[in-house]
Amino acid sequence: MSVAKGRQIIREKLNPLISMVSALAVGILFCMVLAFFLGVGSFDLISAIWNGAWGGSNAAATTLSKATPLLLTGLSVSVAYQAGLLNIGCEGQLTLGALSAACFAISASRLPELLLMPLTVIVGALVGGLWALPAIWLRQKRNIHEVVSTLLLNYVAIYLADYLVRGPLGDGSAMARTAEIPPASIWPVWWKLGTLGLTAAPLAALILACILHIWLYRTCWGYEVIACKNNPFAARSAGIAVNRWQTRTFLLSGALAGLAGALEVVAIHHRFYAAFSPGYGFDGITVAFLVNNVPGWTWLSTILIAGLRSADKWLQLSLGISPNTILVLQAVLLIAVACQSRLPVTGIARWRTVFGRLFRYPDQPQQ
Amino acid sequence: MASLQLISLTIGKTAPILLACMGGLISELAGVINFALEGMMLTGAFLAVWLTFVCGSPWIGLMGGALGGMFIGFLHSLVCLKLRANQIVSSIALNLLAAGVTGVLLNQIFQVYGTSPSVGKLPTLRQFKPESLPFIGNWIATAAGDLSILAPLAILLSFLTMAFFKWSVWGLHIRACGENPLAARTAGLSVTLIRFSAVIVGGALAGMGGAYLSIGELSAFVEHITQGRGYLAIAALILGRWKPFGILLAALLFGLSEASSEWLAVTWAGLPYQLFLALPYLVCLAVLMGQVGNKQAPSSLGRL
Amino acid sequence: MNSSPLILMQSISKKYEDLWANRGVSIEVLEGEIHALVGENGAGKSTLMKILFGLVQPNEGSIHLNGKSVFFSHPREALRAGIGMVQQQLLIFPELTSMENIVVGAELRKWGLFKKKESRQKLEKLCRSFGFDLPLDANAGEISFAHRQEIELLRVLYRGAKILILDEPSSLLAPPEVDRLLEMLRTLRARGHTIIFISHRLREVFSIADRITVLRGGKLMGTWDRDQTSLERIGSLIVSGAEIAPTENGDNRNHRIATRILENHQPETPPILRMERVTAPPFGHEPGIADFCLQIRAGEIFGIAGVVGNGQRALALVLAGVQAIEKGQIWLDSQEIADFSVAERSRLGIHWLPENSIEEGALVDLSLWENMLLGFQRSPSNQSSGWLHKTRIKQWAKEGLDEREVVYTSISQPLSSLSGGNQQKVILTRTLLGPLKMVILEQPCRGLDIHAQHKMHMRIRSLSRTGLTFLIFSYDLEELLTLSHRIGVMYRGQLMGVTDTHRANRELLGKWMLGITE
Repeated sequence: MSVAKGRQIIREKLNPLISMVSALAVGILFCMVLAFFLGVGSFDLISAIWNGAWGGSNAAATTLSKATPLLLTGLSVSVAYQAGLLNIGCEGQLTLGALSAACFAISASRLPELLLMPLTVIVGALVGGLWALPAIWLRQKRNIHEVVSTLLLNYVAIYLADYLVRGPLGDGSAMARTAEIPPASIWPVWWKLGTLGLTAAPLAALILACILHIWLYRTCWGYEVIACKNNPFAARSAGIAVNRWQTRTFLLSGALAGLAGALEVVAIHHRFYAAFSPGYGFDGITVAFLVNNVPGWTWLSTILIAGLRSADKWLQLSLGISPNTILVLQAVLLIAVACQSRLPVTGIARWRTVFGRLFRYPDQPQQ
Repeated sequence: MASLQLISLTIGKTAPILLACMGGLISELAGVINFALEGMMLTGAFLAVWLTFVCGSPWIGLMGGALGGMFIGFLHSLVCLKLRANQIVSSIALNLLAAGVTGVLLNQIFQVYGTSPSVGKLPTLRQFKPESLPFIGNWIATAAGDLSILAPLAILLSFLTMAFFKWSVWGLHIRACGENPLAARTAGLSVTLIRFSAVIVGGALAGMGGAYLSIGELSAFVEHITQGRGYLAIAALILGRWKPFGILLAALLFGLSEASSEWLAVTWAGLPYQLFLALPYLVCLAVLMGQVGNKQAPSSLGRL
Repeated sequence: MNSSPLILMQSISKKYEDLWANRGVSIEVLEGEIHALVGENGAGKSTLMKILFGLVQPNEGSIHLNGKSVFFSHPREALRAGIGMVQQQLLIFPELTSMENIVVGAELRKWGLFKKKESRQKLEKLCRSFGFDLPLDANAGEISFAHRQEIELLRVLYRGAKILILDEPSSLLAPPEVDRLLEMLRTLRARGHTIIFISHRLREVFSIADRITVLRGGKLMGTWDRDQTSLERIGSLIVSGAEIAPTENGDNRNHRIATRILENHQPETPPILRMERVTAPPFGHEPGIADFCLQIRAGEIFGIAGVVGNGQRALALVLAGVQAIEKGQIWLDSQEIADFSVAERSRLGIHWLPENSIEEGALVDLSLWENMLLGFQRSPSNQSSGWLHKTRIKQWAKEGLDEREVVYTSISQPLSSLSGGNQQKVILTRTLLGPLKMVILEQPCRGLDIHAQHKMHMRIRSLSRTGLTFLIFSYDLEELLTLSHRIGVMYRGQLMGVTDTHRANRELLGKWMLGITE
């Protein structure tokens, strides 16, 4: 009996892994269907994706460098969702975080390196958090769902950054970009892989993920946050300050996205330019949900999505199909994960329930 | 006159948002959260261009627009009602899916990236010889001549939707499903079927809204042509308190802000053009912040 | 009256996962009779009738209507066959008007258009013939409970249902409303309707039923004519324990418990809780409280009675600290606590069990120990500088649950994997943990079977004897009459009156519940 109990508990802990693997299985099946429609062999498609992600040191370096912003935006969405809120404004928060980090580094270039490096990323994080503020205010004071407001703020952020970088904060050239940030604020390359260098940024993101996981699942404050998501009324009735925790978590979520942008600037691009984010904000949603929004598992889905992201150009080059194919795949993965709500963990029961839901008249909902 | 032109421009800019809104209204009154209006519009816009390209007639393209929206609606109801997914996550996933699929198809079918080749447009009002109409004929010809026929059609459709919910039996059934699905089932309604139909019909309307953008205004498909209008439609739904007339007013407000942004950009040329591009979203956020009072969503919105 | 039954349900069995809700139950209902289906909570009465109504499909068994075999896969088919059901939890559409609530699904229509005028006329005629005074244009979410029940009844009558199934219709009504309901049922019977009446209140059953069927534990105990049996016999068949004997009003409460109250009555203890002129806003569709004054003595069990929707929820939320008050003062002992938060009140010893304990007090997807931790997560024994002592917490949770005999496999299993009754037990266990001064219980016995109710009452009694004060909200007047020392009745957010239980006059309480002061 206790062996079965132990196994049950381990399975519960592994739930994020199981849901991601199931989603991946669905994704691969979908790939085969997609390959048929695109007129390529399904094996060719999958191997092209693999090669684009990991085939060669350049590809691997690109994947790993994309891992940082994806991990952070994934954490951003996870953290907000663990409090019961959905932050899909990571694009805008990331963009403004990146822009402000670049501008701060340029304007504060006389500060010593010891101060400049951390402050730059902190400024980026703060601005990201600030950009999340109107959305959470609208949610709490006007009961507007944060999905709508963060999305509107996304568009405003992109236009705002576009204007600023072509105008007052630009480098004066015809290209829509800021000046290059001073060398004192650039993060040093630790490891050279192919032609690209990796900094400490991915490691920093990973450490942050661990800290967030421990905070969420091992401290009383993290417990209160999780309670807010599960049953806000019960949490409030137990004395938990639901509104305050939701605000704090949402601002933290924005800060994480802003941090992603700042790290992109200081570690990779060394300046900010228009159309900075190739959609990292939306990828973050897939990254977070693939592992059921558990911060400690986000690294796994990050590797997957980062691989997909760096493979998109290769798909275009080798097979001649649009890079948007990756976006389709991501959407399918997200849908596959979303369908796995409240399923029993064990293998066969899981699939049986899914088919039961599809083909049988749904029973009366449980009271 | 400039103000008449502004009015016709407003109606033109309101039409896609209004159609998407009505689509979202039908779905939400049935109790299904629908944030996938953006994806429905995008798919509708693409399919409209594709069918116009293939069949040569923009009216078939319009039907294609409706079909595109219906497809996304079908997926949404399948995933949410049958597979019990979180309705908001499903909506976002479908928006991503639509963005990806339209990009892929754009490449596959037209072998281009970014913008499709030009196709035929829906006829504008001028082509219906409005001068023959008494009183307003001349006004229509001068100020609103370039307005697509779909714009007044959109307003007509929205009035039809209002009438539908006020007077028809099916409207009552839809609202009952959105209020209390358990009670509706006991009263003899097939809740799942009604909700499926509501989401799909809503998708058709939203798809037509997207079709307006591609074959009503532009005569081509551009990637991300919708530019967040689907979310403006959702905001209009909330502002309009889930009542058809309120939604019409909210959509008009957003249409007005989009229309006047072009006009204001010329008048106040000193200000950055990005401000005017962002104006509809800023107005939307401002209005959302300013509103007070009770928002009564359908009682069982989002619950199965 | 012809002797072949109108409805024959044979050997009906229904299984939910591992539990047999009905096991081989056969029941016959004759035409034009009022047939009562009695049994305690969980005996399978509702399930059996839901099968008849087509909401649920049986695993085994058959149904015959007028001699013909029928099978209802959907309530629509049952309605078409003339069977209508009014369920226990009222199913109304809050934002639709009363008229729309009634006619949905059976509207008069022409070309898909809703013929409002004709429907309204037909409905008004129906209302007049039964003496209903329902406001047809008000939103259903805003009218009283009794009116909402009328909507449910009208809904099935409008569809021409000749067979009416009523599931616990009287449990949430004030006594005069119950009498009105019973009168209405007699009228319906006189007009040829057949009525199946599910209830656990034997007094009402014996006042109007023709025949009585008893279910226990999902199995049929038997069917008797009302004149051939007695209240005591039926009462003893419903429960399998010997120590619970039906009382004179036939409600299966322990008469001996009622006597014990009188012995423990202490008239002059000082008040532990005082409320002076408290005003609080409404909660959802229910009214708030206005100029509310209340005094509760230490160590007593104070019951708040009243028809549902008269401000009880607002009062409970105010005392728990969840809802801030607009005016007035609240004192605990001699401390003003009106500004105290929930956490502070909990530290003082005020605990609260919400009405829907699962929906409002449970974290359903989280594990058992996480549910037990709710409210205690910051206490110094459970954490140090924020770090949770998981092993210690799990041990403590395990001890708490084992003491209350909650059935579970592992302390880390999710709450949703327990049965509904066990889930409620967990939440109740948590509410009664820690240093306590006053416990507020909303509907503590809702949904519990008679043994569990009995145990709960005994526990409340014994805790009260140790000096703990209880404030119990219940829509069931009988329960309060057996359990509390004093009873206060609420109506429209006001306290109509307070009386000692042993001096209580059921008629007077009934009048107060309906707002009649004299």
